[in-house]
Amino acid sequence: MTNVEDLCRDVVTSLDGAVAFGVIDLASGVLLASHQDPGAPPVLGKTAAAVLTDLLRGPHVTRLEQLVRARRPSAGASGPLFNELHVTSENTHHFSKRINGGRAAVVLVTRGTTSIGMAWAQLKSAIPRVEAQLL
Amino acid sequence: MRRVILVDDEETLVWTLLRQARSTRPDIAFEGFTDPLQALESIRRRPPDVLVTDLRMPGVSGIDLLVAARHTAPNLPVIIVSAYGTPEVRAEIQRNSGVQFLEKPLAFQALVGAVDRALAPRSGFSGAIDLPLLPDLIQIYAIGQSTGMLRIVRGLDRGEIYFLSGEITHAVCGGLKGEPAFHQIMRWEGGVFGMDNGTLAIERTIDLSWQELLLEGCRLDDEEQAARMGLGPRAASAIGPAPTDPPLPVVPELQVDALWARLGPEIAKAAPEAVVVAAAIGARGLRVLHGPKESLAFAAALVGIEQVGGRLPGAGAQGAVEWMASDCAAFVSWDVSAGLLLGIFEELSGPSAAARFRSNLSRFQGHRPWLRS
Repeated sequence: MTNVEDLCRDVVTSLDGAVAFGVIDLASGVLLASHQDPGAPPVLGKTAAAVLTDLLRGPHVTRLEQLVRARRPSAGASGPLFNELHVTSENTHHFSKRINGGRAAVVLVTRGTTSIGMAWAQLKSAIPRVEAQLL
Repeated sequence: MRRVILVDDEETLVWTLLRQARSTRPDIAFEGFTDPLQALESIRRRPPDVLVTDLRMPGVSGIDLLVAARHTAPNLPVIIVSAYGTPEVRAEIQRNSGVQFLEKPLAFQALVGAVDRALAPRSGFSGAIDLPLLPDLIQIYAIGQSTGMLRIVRGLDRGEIYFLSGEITHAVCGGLKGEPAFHQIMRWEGGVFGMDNGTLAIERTIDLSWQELLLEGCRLDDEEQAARMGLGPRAASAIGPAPTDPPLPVVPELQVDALWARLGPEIAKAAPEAVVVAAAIGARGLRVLHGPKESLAFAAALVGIEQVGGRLPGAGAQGAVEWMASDCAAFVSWDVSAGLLLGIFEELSGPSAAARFRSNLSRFQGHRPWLRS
């Protein structure tokens, strides 16, 4: 995973306000690789990975997806519906997107002052390189 | 032309109000009645845009008129005029029922302001405005300091709620008595009502105030709603702090209402196509201020607080979660210190719609200056 960790470091250092970047295995909720700005308080550990996994594929969001499907016949019949997630807390943003066919997710944590558009752009630009490493 | 009906048994008052109203607001057709039955006949012939009625009148009370009028026009905005009620009570009615309350002696400008508010469009939100008739009735009988038995019949079910000078003292429903009976009745979504004025309860089984009873009803309703949606009970009860979190602050309800009154139009502008649910966060649960509970927006709000509250660093007190799919988005945002929670669901017609949704809603995330200004 050394290469993925290098990628994580690249993302954090290339975006103003980025605090951490990581890759989560959605089957287990385990953080596969991550890098965190050493000067910032820890924001992307086991707990955060578990919460984000819950938010992407936990029973409650799955129930929400079922409700959406029940009311919107246009939504696909199976598989995850929500592929992107943005969590805002008091001082940080957590951006997450499913990758690798939904089996994993990338997570970018930034300070609350970071541009949301820039953060999404940075996260999405890193995805092809991360997926290439995971295959 | 929009039409407003005024009903008061004081002929002089009706005459004075009509005279002032017709000279200052020629754009509105005001009609006055001193006999509630004649007013009702007129409402049945052609429902007005607003009904303004005195609470206490001989024969048919303002409450009876409200009930009968809402049978004909369920969404009819109603302004109740009475010599009873504190500002808190007035706010409680306005918040929960779609009924405005004006105190006597009645200032003409206050009446015109209330009529204008009643005639104003609903801020452009999609989704239904909640107009729970039974809570309306309960509150208005309580404020009217009524004594008697409110009968509610739904099919073969029958419920009785007893009032003594506006206090709820007893309730019966099937084999239930007291608070369980009251809450059972409040779950009914339809039925026929009637008030037996002066009928007293044979025993006292309820000691809570009517406000506490209705709030508890809201909490139970939210729990049921969460259960129907397959969500955990914690979702519907308070904001879900972690067990070690400090207790929820109690935000004055009027403050939450004022905040929502300011934010509502902003949000309508930011997400014009979205279904929006706004709820006040209280120590006993969520109280919906606006929007349909039977909606994906409400489900998203419950899921958000169930999953995130207190678990991500700093997310317990305030935060926001947004889920994006290719053609729809769900959003929940809450701030415990402000006492407000928002749930939003929007269908997205394409990638540009997704970007617009994000851009428009970004102002409601992060530091959310709308809460601080």
